[in-house]
Amino acid sequence: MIDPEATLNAVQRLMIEDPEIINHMNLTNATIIEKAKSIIKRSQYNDIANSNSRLCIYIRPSRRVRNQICTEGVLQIDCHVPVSRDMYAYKIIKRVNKLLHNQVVGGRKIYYDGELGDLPTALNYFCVGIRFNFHATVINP
Amino acid sequence: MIKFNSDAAILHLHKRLTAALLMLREELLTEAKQGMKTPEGAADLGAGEVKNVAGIISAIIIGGPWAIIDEYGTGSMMDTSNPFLGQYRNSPLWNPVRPDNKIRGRPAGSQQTMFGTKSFRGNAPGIDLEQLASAGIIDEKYLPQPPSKALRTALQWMAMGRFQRVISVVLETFPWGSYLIVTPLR
Repeated sequence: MIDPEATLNAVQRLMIEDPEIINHMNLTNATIIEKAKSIIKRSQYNDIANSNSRLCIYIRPSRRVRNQICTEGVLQIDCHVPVSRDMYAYKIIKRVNKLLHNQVVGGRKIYYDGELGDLPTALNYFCVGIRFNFHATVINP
Repeated sequence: MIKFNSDAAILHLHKRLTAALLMLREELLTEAKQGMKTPEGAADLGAGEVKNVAGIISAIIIGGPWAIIDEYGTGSMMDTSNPFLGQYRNSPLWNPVRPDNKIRGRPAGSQQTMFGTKSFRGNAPGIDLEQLASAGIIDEKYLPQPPSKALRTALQWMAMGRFQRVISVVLETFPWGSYLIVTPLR
């Protein structure tokens, strides 16, 4: 079933509830709303400022597979941190992979699909991205 | 006796590989469009023709000026690693009163730009328009734009195994057996 909303909500919840990610993002004492503003379900980063970190969880274009009733979904997670804290981006991505790879999240089995290291981000920021894939049927009951 | 009809097999495989390449190009194009920062940049990317020269199949992606601007950025924030920047700076398209990368006003007259020949009034020749825009004196469109690196990022993602995976599926599922000709010896 195609349900990107459920996938994104489940992944976001998992990230927000993980103490290690929250600690690396300096959100330990933040409220749930503040956490949800830093761990977002969009790829938006141009408004990031004040040395805040941001985790962007979003769906990339899906890929066709040989079976026409299935599709391969692609989930991307980008971690934007201030340049001075660049190593935390790798730590967060490492933790994200541990939380998602080979796990069932939001009813989907998610697998690691690759990482690219340094990605475009805001000025004086550093970004690392990671991708996961999952399969879904294209028929929504 | 077993024979293999290699001519027919190569012809069929060629068709399959071309179809796979077209699918990969579509994926790359969608990825790149999603990564563009501006709607103009995304709209300016398109699929070009498919070529087959001397057995090499190539599928082209074409980007116009808006796509180039989005990919490499503008003004003082532009990506100076652009391999064609030097060529652009030394061409008639570059503002003749722009000594650095900052967005500056053009002199009066008709000039060639990336968007074709345009006529300029020359209100602020050589003036740093980025500074005026950041002070709110002129329109925000003169603010520098960071590079999206959308096409390069999409290519990097695709090169990380996606190309190989699609091609290996074509080879694994190709009906090689259909081109075997088995005839009993008398």
